[in-house]
Amino acid sequence: MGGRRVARPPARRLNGLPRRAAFAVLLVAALATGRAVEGLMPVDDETVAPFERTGGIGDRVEARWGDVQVTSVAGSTRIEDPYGTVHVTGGVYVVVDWTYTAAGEPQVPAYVALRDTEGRVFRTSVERNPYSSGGAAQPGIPRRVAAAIEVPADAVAGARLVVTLETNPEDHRRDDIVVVDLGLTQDDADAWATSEEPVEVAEPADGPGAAS
Amino acid sequence: MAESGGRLRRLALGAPRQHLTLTGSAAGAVVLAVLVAGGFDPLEKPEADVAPLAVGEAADIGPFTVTVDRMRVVDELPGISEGDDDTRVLALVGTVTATGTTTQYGAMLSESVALDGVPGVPAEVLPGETTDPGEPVPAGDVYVMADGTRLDAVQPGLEYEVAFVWEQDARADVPSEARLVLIGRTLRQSSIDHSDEWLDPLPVVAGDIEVTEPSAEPTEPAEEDS
Repeated sequence: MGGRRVARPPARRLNGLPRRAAFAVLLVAALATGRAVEGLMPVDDETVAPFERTGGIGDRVEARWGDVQVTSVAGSTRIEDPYGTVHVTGGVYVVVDWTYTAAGEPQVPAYVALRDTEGRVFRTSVERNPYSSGGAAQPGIPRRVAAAIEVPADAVAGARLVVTLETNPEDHRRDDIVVVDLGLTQDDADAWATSEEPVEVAEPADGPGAAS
Repeated sequence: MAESGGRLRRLALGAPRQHLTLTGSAAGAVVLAVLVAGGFDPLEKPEADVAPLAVGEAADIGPFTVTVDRMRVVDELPGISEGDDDTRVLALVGTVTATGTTTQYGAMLSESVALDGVPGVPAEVLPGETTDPGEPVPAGDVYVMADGTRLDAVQPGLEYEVAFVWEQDARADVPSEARLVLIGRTLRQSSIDHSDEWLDPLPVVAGDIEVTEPSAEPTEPAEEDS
């Protein structure tokens, strides 16, 4: 005897519910703690900043996705784009010729901009600020490209070329960006701001002739 | 015993109550989690004060400063648009600057200047989209007067003399006046990816501008030095 089954005490079931409630409270508390910690940490700017790979004209600047070598810089108030259209600016067109060699797999350096000493950013577009990557370049094969960007004359001296893959600056977080000091001075700015000789913007091209 | 069979009954009675409690706890946890994560942003659409249009005066519409100078009808705008028998071009000439420190693209600029209630000016409708016929019609394109090329990017620190253009059906009357609406935007953090963007397009300036016909004023050729 003694085997008479006794109904499970209701206390067990009642205990189960508070345990679930406690789990939910703990979960919410963990989320709240995570959010509070995130708010206190400097995660917004410094830890997500891109890695700047820097260099000057002629330097081969290596990044995770390939390398960039600026070969020449020119300027004027006028450019002739690869389709023969002449564009006129009230500022200065800065035309940068550079070579890009993809690393590992075909890549498109889609983000190209000039950054001035004040931190202003001047990006390429399709027509007014012509730049064409020529599509994905095969790894190891240098591709010569050109970008023409119009800027106010006071942005020329000290301007840097910025190149990376993602077009959205939000996506530059923790990625490599190439930053090349173009070595430009106020004299360059003054000369280019009065020049009416159109600078030709070259089409992208692969292979021989590209900088080694 | 009286208890035998009572267990089953209790289980049967307890199960839905247990589910209810569980659902309640889950809902409560979700609500708490949402509140802890910052809650839902209220879907507020504030009514912006619409200022009267002042020809020749700069209007700050957020990403751009726009100064409206004149509006004219052109049969053709050399280098920009060649009108034909079916259409004529309404061109609004003014100046534009970007207010920020980075490039703003032309699509936002052309969406920022609209014509309201001009007959024969249809909105560009993408396949699969519909527009309210009463809505103001944004400019089809923006061209730089100096060289007649399309302004697809506005660089900070530069002032552009531009023409906003609309095509009008030639069967409609040439308007003597047109109502212009400038659409403003606010720089705020996007609730989707927390990046700062110009959002919340709202009319901020509106008013009538005189439209001159080609015969009244000869069109200027798009000289490169103009």
